[in-house]
This record gives sequence, structure tokens and C-alpha cells, in this order.
Amino acid sequence: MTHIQIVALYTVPCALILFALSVNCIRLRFKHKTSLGHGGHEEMERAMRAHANAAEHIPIVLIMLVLLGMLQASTLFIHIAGAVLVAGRTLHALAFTQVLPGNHWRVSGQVLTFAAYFVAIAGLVVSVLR
Amino acid sequence: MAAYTALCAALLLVLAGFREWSRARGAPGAHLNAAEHIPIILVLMIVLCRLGGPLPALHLTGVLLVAGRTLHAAAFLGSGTRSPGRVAGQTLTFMAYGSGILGIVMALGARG
Repeated sequence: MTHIQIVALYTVPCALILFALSVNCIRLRFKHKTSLGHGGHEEMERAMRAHANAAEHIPIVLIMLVLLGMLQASTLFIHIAGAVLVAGRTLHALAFTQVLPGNHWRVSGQVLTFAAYFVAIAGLVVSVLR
Repeated sequence: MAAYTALCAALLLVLAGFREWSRARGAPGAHLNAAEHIPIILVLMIVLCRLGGPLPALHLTGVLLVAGRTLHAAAFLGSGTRSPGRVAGQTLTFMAYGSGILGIVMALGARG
């Protein structure tokens, strides 16, 4: 597999996570008849924050993965950062929308997300200094 | 690719401006929503581009994205948050996700 093919492998599930979280917001907008904001519904606020949080973290990490691919960095960095990102965002999304009960899943998801940042940043630093 | 990125960046800039200076009730939401969808689709397009994926898929994704977000923003700010334009804009945005993801899957499949 080429570098960019590996990046593509992790980009697709991330896009699907964002897509699903957005659809979830729209579903709840119809359910709670709330066209703007969360209208005081906790479920709505959770869905909106779940999508917003994912949209705040996923693109920047994917941009780093694309750069790692373009810099021909070690594919190990791309695999680790990509897999950890997908796992972290899946856990975070399921915990935040209360599919997985308990706060520890959400925390684990965020910890994995930050781990993905660190691996990707380390990979970029290594490739630039190489 | 650069053209679609520039159009999206311009749209985000305009919406950020509305958020600062307009008193429209939906102004913050319009900018937030655009900022939630545009970056990931641009990333899909960059990956599709670097994969050497089908050019029509790239154009289709870009056109759907720019048209969808423009329509969504105009409807959201202009005719209020319950408007057919908002629904149409969001539908086009989701079609951009679909075409970007499908393009990547096709490019990955074609190269094995």
C-alpha cells in the first residue's frame, strides 16, 4: 500500500463518524422540534456537542496524516495515529451520545484522541528533521 | 481542488463576519455548522486527489460542497432556521460526503 492509500483507509471511517453524528443531530431536531440551538433538551445538547467535538479534532489530525503521507514518513506513524484516532473518536462518540454508559469511555476516547495528536506531531517532527 | 478550497474559505470568512456583526438569530449557528462540515470534506477531496481518484468524483464533491454550504448559509441567515433551503443545503452536503467517500473507495479498489 502506498502512503496515501493508508491515509485514505483512516480518512473514510472518520468521515463516516462525522456523518453519523450529524445525522443524529438532525434526527433529534425533528424529534424535539428544535430548529436552532439545543432548546433546553439535554439529549439535543449532547448530540450537538458530540458532533462539534468530533469536528474540532478529526480534521486537524487527518491533515497531519495527509502531510505524513506526502512527506513519505514511516508508515508506522500513519497506522498508529490513524488507528488510535478512529478508535478514540468511536469510543468518544458512543459514550457522549450515551450508547456506552459511564463517563470513563468518553475520557478514554479523548485520551486516545490526544495520543493520536502526539503520534502525528512526533511523526511530522521526525520527518521534517530527517 | 484549490478553487473549491478557496471558495469554502471565503464562505467561512463571510459567515464569521456575519457572526460578528449581524444580529440574525442564526448567525453563530450558520458559521459553526459550516465549520463542522467543510474541513472534513476538503480532507476527503485532498485524499481523493492524492490517490489519483476519478476527476469527475472530485469535481462532483467540490460542486456539491460549495453549492450545499452556500444554500444552507443563505437559507439559514435569510429565510430563517426552518426553511426548505436549509434542508436542501444539508442534503447536498451529505451528498458531498457520499461522493467523496465513494470516490476514495473506488480509487482504493481500482489500485487494489
